[in-house]
Amino acid sequence: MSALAAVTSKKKAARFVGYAFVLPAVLFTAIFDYFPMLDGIWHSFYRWNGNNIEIFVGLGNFKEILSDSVFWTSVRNMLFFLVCNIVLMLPTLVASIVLFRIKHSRWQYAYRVLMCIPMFIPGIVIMLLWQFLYNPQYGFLNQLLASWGLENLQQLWLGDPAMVKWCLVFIGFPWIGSIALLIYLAGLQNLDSSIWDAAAIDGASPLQRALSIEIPLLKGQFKLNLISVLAGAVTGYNLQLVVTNGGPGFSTTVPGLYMYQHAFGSVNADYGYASAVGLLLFLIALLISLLSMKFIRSEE
Amino acid sequence: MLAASLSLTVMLAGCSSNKTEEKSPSASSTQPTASSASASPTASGSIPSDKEFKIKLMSWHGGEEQYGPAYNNAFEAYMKLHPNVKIEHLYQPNANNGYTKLLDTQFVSHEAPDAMMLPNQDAAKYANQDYLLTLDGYLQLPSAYNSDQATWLDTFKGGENSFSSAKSGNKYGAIIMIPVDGGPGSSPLIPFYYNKDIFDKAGITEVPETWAELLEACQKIKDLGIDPVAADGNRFLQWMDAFSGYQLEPGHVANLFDEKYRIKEMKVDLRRVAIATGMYKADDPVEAASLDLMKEFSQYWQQGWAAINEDQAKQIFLLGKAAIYMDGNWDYSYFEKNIKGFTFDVMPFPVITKETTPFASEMLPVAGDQQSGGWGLNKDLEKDEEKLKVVLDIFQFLTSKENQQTMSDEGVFVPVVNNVDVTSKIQAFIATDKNKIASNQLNEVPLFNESTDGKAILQLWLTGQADKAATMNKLHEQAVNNVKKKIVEALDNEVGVPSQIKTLEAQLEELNSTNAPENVKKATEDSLAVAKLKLEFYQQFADAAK
Repeated sequence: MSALAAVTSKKKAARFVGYAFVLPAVLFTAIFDYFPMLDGIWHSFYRWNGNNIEIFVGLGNFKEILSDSVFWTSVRNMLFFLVCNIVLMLPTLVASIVLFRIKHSRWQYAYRVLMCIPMFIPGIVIMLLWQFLYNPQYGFLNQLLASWGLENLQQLWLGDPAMVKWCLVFIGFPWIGSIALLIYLAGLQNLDSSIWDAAAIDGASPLQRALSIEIPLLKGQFKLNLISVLAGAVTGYNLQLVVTNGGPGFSTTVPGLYMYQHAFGSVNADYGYASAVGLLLFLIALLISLLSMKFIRSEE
Repeated sequence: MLAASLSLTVMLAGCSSNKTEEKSPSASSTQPTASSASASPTASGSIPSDKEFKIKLMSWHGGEEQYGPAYNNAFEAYMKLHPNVKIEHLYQPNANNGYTKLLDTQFVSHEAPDAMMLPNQDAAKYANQDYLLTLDGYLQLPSAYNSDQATWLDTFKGGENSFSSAKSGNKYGAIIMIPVDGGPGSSPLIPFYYNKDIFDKAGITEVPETWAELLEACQKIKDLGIDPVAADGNRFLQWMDAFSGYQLEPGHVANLFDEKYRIKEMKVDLRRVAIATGMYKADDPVEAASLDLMKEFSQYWQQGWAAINEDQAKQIFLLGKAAIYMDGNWDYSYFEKNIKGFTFDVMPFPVITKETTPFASEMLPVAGDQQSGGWGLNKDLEKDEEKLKVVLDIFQFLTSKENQQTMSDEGVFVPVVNNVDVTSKIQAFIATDKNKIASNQLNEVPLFNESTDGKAILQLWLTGQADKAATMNKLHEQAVNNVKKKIVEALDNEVGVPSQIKTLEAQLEELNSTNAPENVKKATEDSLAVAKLKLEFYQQFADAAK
């Protein structure tokens, strides 16, 4: 009896120690992740300047957002970037397949390192570099065209409302995401090698192998990356903030930037309004993610 | 608890004031004690010479920046004069409030430098926490380095009056900082740096003084195939709209209301109510005129300006690819160091004349007459009288006519003391007799200022993607939305003017009961009167917010 009690108390102590180890992580997650999120939801029903002004406005913020033409312009811009980002997932997929097929392990390693190096360059540096390249007066692109005697092809780049969105999309060139690449590679490396032997016996061409074996078998990894691309495109605004600040006019304003500008970008700072935009973005991203999940399930 | 501690400190200040009045009749609060009064400098070299002193002074000006070298050279000059004094200039950047965060902790642990550069509001904060010396008494004594003035205080531009804002901000009603750079009288309008070589090439012999002359000069430059102006879609746009609008039809908004409301403290309130009530309309002719001015000027800005920021615009000017760039005095040394291959100068923002628009007042806004900041002295210095003497002597040296001449020239700032010759470098940054529009009469382009996306909306108008009516309607739509919220806030009992009145009344009651200095009481009474006037004003137009 006493031996059983000793075992029980030992188990309890072990459980307590386990909880104690997890407690800091739970606490910090609650304080730094969940509290701001719930606080944001709460404040989306208030006019709030982050300090002394906190006036309940009910659904007022949401009504105002939905009736603001700038918000809808930003949604249209977001959809453009969303579609581009989805299409531009392809180069990473192709790069991972090509990389996987490199038989020489040293070369494969070298290319893998090469493609992962951009991961260690801060995104802001890349954005500022491109901003410099695009400058119409002293930027690299127009200077290059001038040196080739092609002045008539010089552009305003970011200054041209018709071209600016495409310029932003091009900033990701060659659109190979390091993390996504590693995920795809890991997926391919985990496949049973007999599949490749069977394909070789069947005489499958490289393209057939990609279309019939590699891409279908990477569907799981693709969907994972897709969700991250969707969430990033719906809520992200770093690129637009740094490179164009949403301009010229509202040409590159996206909902995330719209939210940021309402919180920090003007004398009429209203964190409540910005929180309401944030909540809407969260709902949109959630909806798209749920649809994707449903799509994943139905396929599997 | 807080109120009790405030009462106690104010009471102590009152006691302190009473005691020191015997020694210095003009003093308003903590003054030099008998011993420190004996420290009163009468000539340079009055500081102890038989002892080594190490003085720590902190500012946010790095050694490579414009004001930093000016200060460092002045400190070197002082140390040459007093070899037994070693000045250490500590640099702490302002970014992310790092400067005040550091001071907060240093003061608590009594590790703060002997003197530190502070804007008015921070100086008031630290004075209210009893970390700074009150300086009235020291300033009422003669300066060792300005023998031609009766007192040190008299040497400052605007004398004691120029300290009235700074004094009313702290509980002692005392002077708690010594200004050294950027005195009253700076022009409120940012001038233009220009490429003299391009001007010469374009045959522009006279610097444009009016808006029409500026456009004429720009056309000549454009005819050479050079971009006249390096513009950006952010700061430049904001400045241009403001500075052109300021000059049009003074009193345009203020005159819509009863005379008693036309005070500078209420100019924002007036414009908000004017917009909310429809007295200031979406097609306001004066704001429309300022948009027209911008549109005409924008044909001289480099292509693609809307998508670049001020740093990129600065590069365009620096590379000689545009002739004009708008910037403040803080970048003068940067240009001096970095411009290669051409000479530059600065021209004041031009006056808009009736030749350009019938709304032109042909005047510029008046300059401020208050000291906006300076150096606070650590209260712990009271424990070391000799060191205090040295620190005071350093600041008397820094504010001497001769040193201000050198420093303001090198740092390119407006001197803080009288009788300093202003060099050509600073001239364009100083207000002149054209600066006549009183600040309560200033037309501050209300729709643009109250909108949320003013700059983006103007970009669309100036790049031909929207017409003027659509531009003004969009500005108006956003402005109406915003001002209505502001009016609701102003009338809110918890966060608006009514609560401000309650706070001020409580403060005044406490000040009266603790025999606080008269100027502090007067400042609180004035604020209370303004708050009451505001409430009365907003109550009349409460329906406008609905």
